[in-house]
Amino acid sequence: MRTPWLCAVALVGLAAAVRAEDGPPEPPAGRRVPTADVGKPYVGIRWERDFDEGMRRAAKEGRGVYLCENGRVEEGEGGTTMLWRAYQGADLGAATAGLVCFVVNATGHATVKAGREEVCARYGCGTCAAHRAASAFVMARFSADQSIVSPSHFLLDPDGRAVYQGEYMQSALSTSDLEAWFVRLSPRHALRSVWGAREARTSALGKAETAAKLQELATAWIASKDPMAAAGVVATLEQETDDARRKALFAALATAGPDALPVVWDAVDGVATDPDVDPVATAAWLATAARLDAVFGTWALTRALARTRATPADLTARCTAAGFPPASDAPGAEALRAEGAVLAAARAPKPDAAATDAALRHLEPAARAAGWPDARLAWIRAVCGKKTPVDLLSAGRDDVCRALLQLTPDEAKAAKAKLVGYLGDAVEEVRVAAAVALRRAGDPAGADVLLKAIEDPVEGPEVRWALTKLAGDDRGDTAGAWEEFVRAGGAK
Amino acid sequence: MSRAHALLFVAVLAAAVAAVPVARAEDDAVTAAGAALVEAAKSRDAGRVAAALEAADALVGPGASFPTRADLADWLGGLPDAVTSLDVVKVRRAWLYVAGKRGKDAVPLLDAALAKDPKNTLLRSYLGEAKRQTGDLAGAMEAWKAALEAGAPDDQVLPSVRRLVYDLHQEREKDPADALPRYATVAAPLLAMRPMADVEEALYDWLVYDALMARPDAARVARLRTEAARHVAVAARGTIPEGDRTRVARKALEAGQFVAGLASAPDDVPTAFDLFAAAVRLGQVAGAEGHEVPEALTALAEAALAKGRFVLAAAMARRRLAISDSPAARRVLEAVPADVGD
Repeated sequence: MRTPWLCAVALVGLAAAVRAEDGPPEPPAGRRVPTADVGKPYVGIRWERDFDEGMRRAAKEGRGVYLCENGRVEEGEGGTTMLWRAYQGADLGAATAGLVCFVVNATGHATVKAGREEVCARYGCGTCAAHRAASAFVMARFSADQSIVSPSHFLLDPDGRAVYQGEYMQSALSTSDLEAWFVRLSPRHALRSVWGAREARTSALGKAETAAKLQELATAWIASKDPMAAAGVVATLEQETDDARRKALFAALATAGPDALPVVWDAVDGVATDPDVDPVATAAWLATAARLDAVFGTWALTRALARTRATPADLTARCTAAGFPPASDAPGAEALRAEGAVLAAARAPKPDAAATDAALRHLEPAARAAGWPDARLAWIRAVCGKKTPVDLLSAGRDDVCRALLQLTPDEAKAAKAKLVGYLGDAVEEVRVAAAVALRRAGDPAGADVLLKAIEDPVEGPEVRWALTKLAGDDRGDTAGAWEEFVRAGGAK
Repeated sequence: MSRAHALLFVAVLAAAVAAVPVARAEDDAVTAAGAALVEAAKSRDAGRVAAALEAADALVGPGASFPTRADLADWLGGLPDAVTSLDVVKVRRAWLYVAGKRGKDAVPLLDAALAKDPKNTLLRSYLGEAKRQTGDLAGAMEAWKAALEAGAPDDQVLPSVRRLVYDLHQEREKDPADALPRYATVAAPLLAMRPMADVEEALYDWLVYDALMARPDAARVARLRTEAARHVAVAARGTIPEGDRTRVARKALEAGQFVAGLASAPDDVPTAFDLFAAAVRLGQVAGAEGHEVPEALTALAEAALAKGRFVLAAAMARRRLAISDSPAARRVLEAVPADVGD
């Protein structure tokens, strides 16, 4: 039987209807699209395979994001030789290992197998889906007019903020630049990875026979301007138990300057938060912090003084003995010292009103010179029991909250009806401020508001802070732990 | 004629006959249905009338007596007055027209029914849908609003509102270039009464996309993105399934970052602080450490710092640093008063 003509027509039609799925665009006639040499293992910047996953990983792991846009560079051999130099090689691969890296290109390409993975043939690494998604991101984020200079380079911090951007090929970051950014953006990773990245240097430090030799090696390393040097010295210091060798390392570290701040931050913050755990270490870290940067060191010392159970004079003397430099006259440092003096005066066992007022009068001009916001001064005044006037005519919700939180217990009692009205406000922070004011006055009328707020991630921290001050102890972050106190009313 | 040619001729003829539309002539089933309705109407037995209408419904379908529901409605309208004058038949016809996408024919029937039964929310909902089909969007909104105010359950009204918004998005090319797209504004009164998180999120996505396409017109970009921020704030306040919370959190964060960059914003635009707060709340995972959107913690820390909410700023910065490195979170901690935190 003759083949039904309809079937034949259908088959022909189907064949005609089949079209290629979204394949790579054809290269311009006469030009060969360069591909990575997938005969050899890829060595260079490792491009991510999934854009969304890479960005999530950057935030979750605290890594910077390096975006290399080159989509409009001619897809011909001559235009891309420079690209391969800028992105390939063992040094660049090592320097970017701590970052999340995306090549940025809106064009799809063929794929090839590299090991067990399918990779973009143009780049030899990563996927077309990732580099196209990166392109959409860059265009949305950095282009005001749907165009962008190509090539361009961008660096984001772990929270996605742009910290660097540059145009043309010279904006591609060198290995030294990349390592410096890595240390600045991800100091914790830098402290872990420096052992491998600078094995010879760290090994030499470990083998130094005397403290003097150790200090000499560490100081020389820092003086070499190696971006990883400070990380290497801090990492060694954190593992060193001998007092003399620790002192030598601190002395070397102090020569590093402000570039070392990221890698010392956690250690300094730790001793500033709990200065009495190891007074010797506290003094050493605080002194080092101040030698690296006067304002940072003063910040840390002021925090430590506000928390130590030792006398301020003792802690200050230990820090001076450890090498804390003389008081800096930098505006930020001056203001921090003045703030510390106000806090100390206000918290003295027998507060002296005159001394507190004098300290406040000294703080105010220093704070303005340092560019501190009014809110910070208002906070310190509140610590001293002083109110900051609120202009009711122009008061926004922040001012209303501040006014409510400034109420004394007697004022709150007198304004109870008004405060109870605020418990029904549309804005939660106003409701919470009213409830706190009532509870300070011993009135449990806002108990439900407080108990709901204490488990809220946004309102909870301040409610817990206020209740802890009232109760004299911190009962935790659950409503159940605070219910009895909140509903009981009255004083502590 | 060869056997093969004969078979081919028969096949072509059968196809030709099958291709002719079925005439809505009085075939046996239709005749029986009509008779049943007339008898039921004469008997004044509501149950019999209802049963007869159901039986007629069964005659609707491709290749059946009535290809569409609207065709059935037309046929019902041609029956004797004893049938067509019944309220239940009028309402059925109206519903059939609406279901058959011929709202224009449904409107007079529904108006008449509502004149007798003004509190009937189902009819009011149908009227809204009928007016939507005729392009009378203001009339549709009015009817749906009235239905909701009279106590209509959400599922009588909201599916139609959702459909309207999506249809307007499909037709956005017709919107004037200097105004907000209709998909973002027409349903606003109803969305204010009954927020629908999925619709609000879709509005956010569409407005952000349209803003991207509007570049380099910076004013229009700002207008669209500001409107987008309003919608994501509503979405973030709604009931969001567990699996969708992180996605909405990221959008709230993104919107907050845009609002934070505005020199000034109208009073009805959510603040960056509120958007970041929403992102932090949505990114919490109950019973789990960490946070699904760590960047939101940093953003809220900075916004809290700017408001002088130092305890909150420090708490958010500490939470961020407990997850991983964040230079921005460290800067926040360096800017809070010395007695705050821990």
